[in-house]
Amino acid sequence: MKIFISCKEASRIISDGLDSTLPFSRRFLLRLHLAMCKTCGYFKRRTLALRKLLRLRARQEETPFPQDEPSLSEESRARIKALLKEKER
Amino acid sequence: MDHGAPEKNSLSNPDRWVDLYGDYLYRFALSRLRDSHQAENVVQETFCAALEARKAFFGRSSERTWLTGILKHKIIDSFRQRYRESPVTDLEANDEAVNSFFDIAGHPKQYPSDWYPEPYQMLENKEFWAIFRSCLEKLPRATRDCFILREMENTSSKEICRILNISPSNFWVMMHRARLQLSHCLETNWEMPGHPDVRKPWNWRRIKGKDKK
Repeated sequence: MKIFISCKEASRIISDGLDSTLPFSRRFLLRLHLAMCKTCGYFKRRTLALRKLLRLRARQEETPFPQDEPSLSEESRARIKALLKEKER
Repeated sequence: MDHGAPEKNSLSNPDRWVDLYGDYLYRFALSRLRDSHQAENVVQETFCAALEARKAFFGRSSERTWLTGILKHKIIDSFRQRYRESPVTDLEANDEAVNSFFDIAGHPKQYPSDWYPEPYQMLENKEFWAIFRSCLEKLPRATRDCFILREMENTSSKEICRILNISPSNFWVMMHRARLQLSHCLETNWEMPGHPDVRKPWNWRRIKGKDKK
């Protein structure tokens, strides 16, 4: 019975685990691998941190601060305003 | 500029919507769709739909939250449209890309360092987001959209497969590729030791209380 997996397979299980519930067998194989491979642990931590960051960002988007980032062009604004006026009639 | 309905539970004048919320909605749409033209369309559709649905707004949430809800639906529709028009073609390339990170024995060609972005610290770091955005752009389109839908819109894998018109196994490979490549790209492009916002846990414990420069 195979109990050792490669880093490639481990990274795949790590990824899958973020989007589904892993069956016990895969979880076990991964745990065993992680006990012996610290760099896969680094990948897992980094991947989880990125997910957490993006989720925090999504929450923060609910209350944004004024930023110097892309805006609707003047032309688009005018066009949309005109369109809304049209529709209101 | 105010953030949210000036009057508590009623709608402001639609004339003001574009000024109040246009930029915010546009930025939001752009961060998902990564296409300024489609983002503009979606914002326009949102305002139009909101105009029609005005009467159904009971003032339970803020005006902006309500508009954002409509926007999110329009964004998903836009993604669906994108893949109806041009089906995904880079599926095999994803398999190869994943393999390219490892050697024959399945070991990483480049072992990841212990660096990771500390969430609460990186959140406000503009440099980081700029790097992240550019790393995201390096992914092929469908893979990028898959990642965005999953990680930024919290869409289920089932729903993503429907939107992108791909199989579940395609989805797993896409996410695997995206995560490998982003992890690699972020590390490569981020300057590490000495950067004030990066603290490796083991390092931090050692320099705490000491005057390390």
